[in-house]
Amino acid sequence: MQLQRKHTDWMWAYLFIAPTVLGLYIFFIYPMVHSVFISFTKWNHLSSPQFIGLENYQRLFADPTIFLEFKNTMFFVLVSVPLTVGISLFLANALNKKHLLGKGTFRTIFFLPYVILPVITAQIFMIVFNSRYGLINGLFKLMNLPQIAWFSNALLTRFVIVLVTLWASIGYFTVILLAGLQNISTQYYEACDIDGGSWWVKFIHITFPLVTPQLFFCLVLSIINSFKMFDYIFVFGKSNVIVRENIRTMAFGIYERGFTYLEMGYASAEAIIFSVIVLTITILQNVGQKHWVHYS
Amino acid sequence: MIRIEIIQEDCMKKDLKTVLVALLLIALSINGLFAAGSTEAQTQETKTINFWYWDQNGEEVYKQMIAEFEAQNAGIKVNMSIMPWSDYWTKLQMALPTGTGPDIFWLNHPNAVSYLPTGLVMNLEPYKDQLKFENFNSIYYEPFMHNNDRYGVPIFFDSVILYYNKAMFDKANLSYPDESWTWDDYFNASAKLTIKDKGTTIQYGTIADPDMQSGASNFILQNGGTLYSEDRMELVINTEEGREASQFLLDLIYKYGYSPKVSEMREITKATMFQSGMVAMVTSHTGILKQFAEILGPDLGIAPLPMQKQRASIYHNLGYVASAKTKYPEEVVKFMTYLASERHATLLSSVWAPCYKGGAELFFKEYSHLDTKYIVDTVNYGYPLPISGKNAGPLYTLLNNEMDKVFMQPTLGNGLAEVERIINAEINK
Amino acid sequence: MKNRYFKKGISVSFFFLFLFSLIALVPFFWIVVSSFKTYRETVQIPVVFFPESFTYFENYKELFGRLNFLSYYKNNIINTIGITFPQLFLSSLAAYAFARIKFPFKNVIFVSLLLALMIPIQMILMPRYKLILDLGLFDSYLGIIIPSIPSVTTTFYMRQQIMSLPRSLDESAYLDGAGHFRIFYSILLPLCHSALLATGIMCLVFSWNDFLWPLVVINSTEKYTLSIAVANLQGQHLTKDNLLLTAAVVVSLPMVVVFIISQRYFIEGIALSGIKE
Repeated sequence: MQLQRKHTDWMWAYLFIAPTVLGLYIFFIYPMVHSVFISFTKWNHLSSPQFIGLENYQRLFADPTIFLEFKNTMFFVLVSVPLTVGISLFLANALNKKHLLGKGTFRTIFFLPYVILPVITAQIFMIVFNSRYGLINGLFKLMNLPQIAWFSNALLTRFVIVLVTLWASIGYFTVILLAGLQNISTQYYEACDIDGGSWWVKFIHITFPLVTPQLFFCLVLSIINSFKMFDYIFVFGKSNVIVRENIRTMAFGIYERGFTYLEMGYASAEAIIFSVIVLTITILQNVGQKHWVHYS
Repeated sequence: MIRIEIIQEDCMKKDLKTVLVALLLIALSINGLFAAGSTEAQTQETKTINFWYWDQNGEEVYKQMIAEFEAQNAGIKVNMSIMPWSDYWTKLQMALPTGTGPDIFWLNHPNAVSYLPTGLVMNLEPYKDQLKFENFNSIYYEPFMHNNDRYGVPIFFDSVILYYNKAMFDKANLSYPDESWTWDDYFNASAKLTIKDKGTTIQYGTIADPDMQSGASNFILQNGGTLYSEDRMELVINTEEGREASQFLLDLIYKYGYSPKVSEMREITKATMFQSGMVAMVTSHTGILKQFAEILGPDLGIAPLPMQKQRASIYHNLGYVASAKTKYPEEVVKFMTYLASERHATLLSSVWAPCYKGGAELFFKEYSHLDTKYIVDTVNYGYPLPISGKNAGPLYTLLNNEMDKVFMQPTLGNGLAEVERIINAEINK
Repeated sequence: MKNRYFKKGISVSFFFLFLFSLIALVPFFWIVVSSFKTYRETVQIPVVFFPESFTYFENYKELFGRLNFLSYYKNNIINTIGITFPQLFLSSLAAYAFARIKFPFKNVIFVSLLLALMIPIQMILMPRYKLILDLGLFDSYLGIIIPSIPSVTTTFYMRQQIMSLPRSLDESAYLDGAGHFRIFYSILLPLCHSALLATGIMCLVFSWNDFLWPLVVINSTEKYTLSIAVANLQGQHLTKDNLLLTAAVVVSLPMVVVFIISQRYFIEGIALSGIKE
């Protein structure tokens, strides 16, 4: 079916991608390039940027706080991502059953957490986990368990952050994966039933392979989102400086340096390094997808 | 051949799409109308000046003031915008240099240090005859000066006082705090007002707070210690007096248990603890008086901070400043003149304590059942908010963070020396 | 035999789903209940779970009366519709090209788009703001809408979706004389119902809740979005928690309603009968 179309094809392709790609280049990529320039300067927002060459980067690589932030970011990524995607897949699969009662209701309920403003979510959970009058400690009291000061302990705070992240984002990914699962023709399942396959077999040989395109999307996106972990560090770390210093992530560090300490140049440098890391991981994923993602 | 049967619903989806596209077109055209609308405001006749601030509590009073001002000044329109506190400075930083920001806006002490030298703020000295700075105590416009010129008109002030719960004092048979109180009185009262129940403290006597506005800084000064040097280029907090004061507060938390720990206090917030009856006394700033009065009603009492070797109370105030890049400098000065007037102070006093001479008394008239003379008195022994001479905003945050860390240990150790080292390193960068 | 498998599988699923639902709902329950509390009840220790009176409407009155939330609704609706529908259309269009057409630099361009996701948005606020100024769009709805229309996430997702549709559909349509646009619009897109709906709702929610960019663009109070209005409820020294939680209810409610209504349109799989490969 080799194509005369080739050249007109290109034309169509460029036309189709033009609005989106141009839009992204103008409103995202160009500002990013601008950020690269700023990373070679010293700038506090109010005066003009002063060029200082590689100083910011040199400082970056010698700064122990940056390494801590990197470690913490990786921690949240490595813990949240498998849990988020795994649980979402499990839930999406559970929701995909034909004769399940109240499917629509469940789907709605799971998605709801995603709808609330992140700031409000953080506040609500601060109350829930409050050491003196929170819901959790209240329940603990009833069960004769000790009262815990959640936000005064770095490890516990991390735990709460992972929990809240899961709470807020699982609905999103469940809906995405469910849409993907629903595209799988029931024919395959019926054929498997006839051959006497158990649910595990169905999952491994039918469901999983056919949902890999959406799974890939979820993986890439949840990794990128985990990297950007900021809101919860900001809110949950507010009460205890020592905990905050312990759990800070790169996104938090960038914000604090740029907007609280007004060192935009230094913050931009960290932001660039951050983007490079995320980009590398994404490219690796993109390359790796050939090995496990099935497209029709 | 291949036959594809698609269920009926997808036709519905197509119709839905058309409807939604239509909606979009309608939305965009409405939007077009609005976009056009905003530029229409700047006609030949009316000149619009933008006024930015961050506290919603002032909305009604400012609306009233603006209406008055506009009635007296045909051809000038004032557009006020309330920006969320959390992002006020971010927004200002972005808009002011490009000339698309406010013409008049609120500024506080730390940010005055950063903004005044940049040339983005209008020098008000040429207009001093209209603005009449003599109506303000100099401590209120000094923080808004640069190279001996005045750049800001003072608005309202905050000082730090002792709030206490009368009901709790009555229950413990203690006499109320007054101007004779020293640290010893404060300490003894905290002891008697701390109530424990089976190992948990259900009522704390007081809150020992490292905060540099409403907490430790006051105590350090009362003990004769120092905060910043005269030229504000050096932090000199690590004096013997400073250490004594800090250890006094730390002991309240760790040695005696009369105060909650810092992290618990920050989790629940000082104000909430006091309002909900967890704490008998709290040192806080006067801005929160209205709130406390609403919640505690007749149980609220106010007193000056206890003294030690001297009296001290940290004060802070805001100032109106103008953008140097404003398109309408004349109109801006006219509005500034109104904002510096007695009329403005009278109206403002329904919400805050104005800096205008005599204005504070008007504010406190509403709370005359409380001993508000103590607040007015603080002017006599007020110390300005401890800020550095350079990069004040960020360093103020850093100072508070470091003090928090110091207060998370039961003993001071060389905590204050560390704080000094860190802050001074930043100043000298 | 089949029935037994079905029943067991379903009851286990049901149990877990129920459990997760409770966890998902507790905070909602909290904010709804709190919206009927007075300020005092919100800050009391020990915590008051149920307000004294469920008919305490003062919070709602304050939000819609003095604080004018109704006009912010209008702004949100304009922005959200203005962003979501163009985005769905344009991103799917681009996704089709990335998924189905071979053209030079395709992969490079696609990966470069992912860059857009990676930089923390605070870093690019200033240059974007300058752009908007130069285009004369600041303090306008278009200033919020136009930069928010291009989306990597939506394009990426739709690309994955289209890539999972069989190429035989394209080919048969091509043989029947259809050009790229027809294949895209009339054949493939209709098959992506669930995906479009899913990603459309994501976009809807995201633009509804968006805070930072509208804050930067808009100076005039009339054009504020709900998220800005909510942020204004958080004062420098004190926040009226009861109002804040009520605002949470008020702001989330439309999205919840939209999502519930959209449930009807999620299709239970598409019957593709008779495909022979």
